[in-house]
Amino acid sequence: MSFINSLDPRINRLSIPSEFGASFPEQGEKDQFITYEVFVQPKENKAFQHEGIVHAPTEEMAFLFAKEQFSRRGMNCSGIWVIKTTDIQVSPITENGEDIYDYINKEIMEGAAKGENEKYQVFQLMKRGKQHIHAGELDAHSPEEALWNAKNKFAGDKPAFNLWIVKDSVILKIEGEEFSDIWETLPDKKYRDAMDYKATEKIKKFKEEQKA
Amino acid sequence: MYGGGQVFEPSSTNNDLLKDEDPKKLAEFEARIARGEKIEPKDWMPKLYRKQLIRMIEQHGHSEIIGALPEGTWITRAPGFKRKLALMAKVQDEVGHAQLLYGAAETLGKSREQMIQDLITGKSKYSNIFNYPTFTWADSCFISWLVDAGAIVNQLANARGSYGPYCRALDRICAEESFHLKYGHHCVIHLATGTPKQREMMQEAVNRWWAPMMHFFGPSDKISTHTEILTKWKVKMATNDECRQQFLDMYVPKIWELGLTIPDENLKRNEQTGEWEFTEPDWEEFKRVINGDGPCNKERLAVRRTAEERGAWVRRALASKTKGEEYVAPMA
Repeated sequence: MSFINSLDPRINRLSIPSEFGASFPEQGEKDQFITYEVFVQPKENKAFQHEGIVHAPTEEMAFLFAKEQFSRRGMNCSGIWVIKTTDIQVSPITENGEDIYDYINKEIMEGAAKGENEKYQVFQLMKRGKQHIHAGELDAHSPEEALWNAKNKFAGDKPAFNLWIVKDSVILKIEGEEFSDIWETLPDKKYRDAMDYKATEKIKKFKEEQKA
Repeated sequence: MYGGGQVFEPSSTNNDLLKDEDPKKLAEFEARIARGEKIEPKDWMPKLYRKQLIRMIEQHGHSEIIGALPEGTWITRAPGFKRKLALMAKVQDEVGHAQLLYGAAETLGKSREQMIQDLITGKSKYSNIFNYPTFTWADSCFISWLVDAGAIVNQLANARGSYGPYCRALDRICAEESFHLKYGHHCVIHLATGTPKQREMMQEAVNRWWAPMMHFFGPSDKISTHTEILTKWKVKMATNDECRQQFLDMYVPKIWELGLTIPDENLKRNEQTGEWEFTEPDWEEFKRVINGDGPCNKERLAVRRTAEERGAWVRRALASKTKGEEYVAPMA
C-alpha cells in the first residue's frame, strides 16, 4: 500500500493511503449535531446580542465551542448565553419598516394554552441586516402571552421588525462574577491582535540603508 | 482566506431557474435589494439566488478549512515561540471562519454535513491557491500576508452584499483578518530585511507564489461569464479584474519597497489609465489545477477525508448524548 507523501511531517506520520475507495459514507449515516444560537455580552452591563451558531451534542459542549468561536479576542466578551435553536419562538418578520408590535393583539394571547407562570427573555431585531439584541425579561403563562407583555413593556418609538422569545429556564447562561475568570486572560493574548505587529520602523531603517 | 474565480453555471440553466418565479415577489425582492436592505433567511428569495449564495458561501467556507492546511504545516517548525503562537492563532481563526460561513450557508437550507460531504467527494470547490505547496517558512509568510490581503479585497466587497447572515459573518471575519495581514507583513519584512539567506528565501517564495496569486481573483472579465443578474442581486459585488487591480494597487508598492522583485517584467502601473498592466496569467493552468491536477489537490482532500473518518468515533460517542433531537436550519 502506498501513502500520501507530504512536505508536512505530521501528515506523513498519519500514514494516509494515497488512494481511497470510491465510497464515502452518505450524510444520513453520519453525524449532524443540532445547532445552538449563541448570544454574546460584549461588555458588562451591555445587552446580549446574537452572534451566530455552533453545532454541538449538548449545551455544555455548545458553550465550549461558542467560547472558542466568539470570544477569541480581548475585551469583547463578558458573558455568553447558549440557546438550542428549536427553543426559540420566532415572530414573523415585518415588511416596509412596519413595527412587529403593531401586529400583536390581545387575541393572540387569549387564544393560547396557559401554562405555569414563567420567566421569558425577549430579543428584538431593530435594524434589518443587523443582529437580534436582548430587550429584557418578563413573566408570562405562554409564549403568546410573552409576546403581548413584550408589546406593553418594550414597544417604543423605534419599530422592531422581528421578535425572538425564549423561556429563561432553557438558557445556559455563563455570565457575571461567578464566571469572570473565564474571560480574565483575554486581554493578555496580544499576539492575536494586529496592534502587536508594528514594523514601520524596520521598513524605514531598511530603506535608509538601501539609499546609503 | 478566500479566492474569487467562482465557476458559475452557464446562463441557460440560470434562465430556466428564473422563469418559474412569481414576477410580483421577484419585483419586491429586487426592490428591497435596490433600497440597500438585507435579505434574511425567512424572506422570500428566488431559487437562483439561494443556489448561487449556497455555492459561494460554501466554497468560501471550504477555502478557509483547506487554506489552514498549507499554513498549519509550519506550526511545528515556526521560527521561535512568538511566531508559533501567532500562527496557531491564525490557523484557529481560519477554521473558525469556516464554521461561521458554514453556519451562514446553513440558513439557506444546506446542512453542514452535506457541505463536508461535497468537499470530500470533490463535488464542491475551494480556492485554487491552496493546491500549491509551502516548501519553506517564507511560503507560509507569503500566504499570511498576501493571500490574506487578496482575501480581504474579496471579502470587503462581499460584505456589502445583500444576504444578511453572510454579511454578518464577513464583518466578523474581516476584523480578524486585520491581525493576519499585519502578522504576515511583519513576517515578510523580517525576512526581506534580514540576512542574505533570509532575503533569498523570501524572494524565492514570491517567485513561486506570484502566478497562483494572479489566478486567485479568477479568470479575467474578458473570458469569464458575466452574470448581470448576480450583480443586480448583490451576490457578486466586484468583478475579478476589479479585485485584482485593487490588490495590485495596494500591495505591489509594498512588495517593491522591501527590495523584492516580482517575476513579471510587464508588470507596471499605466500612469494614464491608472490601471496595472501585466502578463496575462496562464488560465489553462488555472483550469487544470481547479479540475484536480495541481501539486496538492490530492493531499488536501485526503487529509480532510482522513480527519473526517478518523474522528467519526468521537462524534458518534458525543451524538449519543443528543437524545435523538432533530436538526433544524439555524436562524440568522
